[in-house]
Amino acid sequence: MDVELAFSGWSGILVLALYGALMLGVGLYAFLRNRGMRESLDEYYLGGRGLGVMVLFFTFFATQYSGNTVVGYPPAAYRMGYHYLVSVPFFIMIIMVYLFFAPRLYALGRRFSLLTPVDWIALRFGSRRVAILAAMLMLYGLANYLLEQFVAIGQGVAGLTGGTIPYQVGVIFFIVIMVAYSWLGGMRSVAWTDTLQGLALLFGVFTLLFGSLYYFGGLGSAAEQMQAVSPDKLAPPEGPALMRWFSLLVLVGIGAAIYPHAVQRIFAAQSEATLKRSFIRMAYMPFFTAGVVFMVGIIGIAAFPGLTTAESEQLVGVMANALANQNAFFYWAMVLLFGGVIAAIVSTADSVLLTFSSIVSNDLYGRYIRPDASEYQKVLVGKLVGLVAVVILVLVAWYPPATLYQIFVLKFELLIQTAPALVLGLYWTRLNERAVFTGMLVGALLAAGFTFIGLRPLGVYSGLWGLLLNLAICVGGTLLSAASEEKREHAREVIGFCYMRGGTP
Amino acid sequence: MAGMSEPVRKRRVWIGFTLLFVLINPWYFPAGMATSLIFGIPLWALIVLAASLMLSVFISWVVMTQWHTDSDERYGGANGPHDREGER
Repeated sequence: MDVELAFSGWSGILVLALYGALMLGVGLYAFLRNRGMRESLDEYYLGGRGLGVMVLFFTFFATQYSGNTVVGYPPAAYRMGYHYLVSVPFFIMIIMVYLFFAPRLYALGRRFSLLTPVDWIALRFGSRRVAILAAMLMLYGLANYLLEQFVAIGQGVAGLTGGTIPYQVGVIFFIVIMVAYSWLGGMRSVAWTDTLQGLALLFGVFTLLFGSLYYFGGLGSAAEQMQAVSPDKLAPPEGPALMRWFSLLVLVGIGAAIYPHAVQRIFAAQSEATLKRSFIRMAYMPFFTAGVVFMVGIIGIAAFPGLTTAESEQLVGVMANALANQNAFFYWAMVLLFGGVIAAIVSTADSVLLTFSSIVSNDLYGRYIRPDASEYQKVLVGKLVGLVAVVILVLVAWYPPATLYQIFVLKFELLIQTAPALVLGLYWTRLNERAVFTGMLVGALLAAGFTFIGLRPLGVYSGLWGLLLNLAICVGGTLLSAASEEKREHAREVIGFCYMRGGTP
Repeated sequence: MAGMSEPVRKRRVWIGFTLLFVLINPWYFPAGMATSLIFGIPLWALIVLAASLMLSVFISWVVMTQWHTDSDERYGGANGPHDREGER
């Protein structure tokens, strides 16, 4: 945020300090309520598989909607007009995609006490290389995801405090708090803080919308402005724009649903009913979040016409400034909004960090390096490796490398390559381990390669090309040579719903 | 266990999702659609939003009626921390 916010300075600092204290308090509360928690992986990483509807819903919500939804989406809507309306259905797509695997994965999670998505892949394929490759792709994607959040925290804090707090101090402050409450309460404090952070975010975006509608005029004047200057922003998308719409729906739908931290939340649900109720609520949230910030961006078209791409990136800051100057209510509402934005970034980062640690604890250290370690040791290793990763990522955020910048951009593109193993593996007993491994590896390489050279054939994103190739190899390889009878028997035992009915549990 | 059901095994779920997916992609509007505005919102955008809402409603229906397993009864759940370690 390069824009000097009217409300930056001490009120910003006050709100940030308040948020920090509140989150730390939640962590402390979670710690005191569950003294024995550090002993077990289940307790630390999944909150003892006991998250109720409200908390589960908010942790899904706050994990999915990041600070970027609030500050990044209105500029996109400003530049693309109604072509960016895709941001509403793509969030609904995520829930639709969940329904194709979550019911079974939840049941299997209960049955086998699964802790991470890699845990499931290892159980299903019984293959060291598939499990390790999946773990690596996830860790790499999650690390870059975390890096992005850190950069955003830094910019947010610097913007909100008007430079009163140096960028670096802000980042360190929030990272220390985040690590502290995560270590204190594990998944419980992450999910509980997510609830607070989600509420702050919702309050902020609605205030921004009502303020904008009241002071800057409605959608009608925005439409007039678009009709006069850029009528294509009002027209239905065609050609490449339509293709982008389509590939965003598919990529975000599949990609966000199989984010490792999203999958892990399925395992944390208290019961099937809890999970179901959370999903139903999530299905309507896109209208109240993505839809609201989309409208804010559209209103901006009439209120602040003619911004360049770089200027439009500051749109939310500019609008918040203008609102904060109106009266004391909006002044404090905007302070809370920006505090909420930072809280939303932190709430995404904490979930990512927790999942990162759980994969290290359970899937690398616990499964392959020291299977005989106690659960306490496994949790400790996860925490420490997570901390080391955080320190490295903070250094990268401060001293961005001049070259090879793209290796820090890859996230979605790589994470999505674990989808065939994760989802196809749930239903298809013939699925061949070698095909899965080759598909995942080649798909990841293709997606990375396309990203590096900036290739986007037919306007379709590189991750989707990788996924297509990956899927083709998985399916083709399996049709050519199916898994051995012995392996199929194992697969049947592991996934068969009929076995869950008839066999002894 | 007659009540066991998974959305992925239901043909009506696949048909519903396919139809709604087709509708949330704005490919079926004639050119010149931009001129019709309702409350300042292009008509085509309202139609896509309506289709999106239908998708949300359909998701609710699928979750409520097409998804029942007995995993909680068998493997613990609903009552806080589960009491068994699973099968491994």
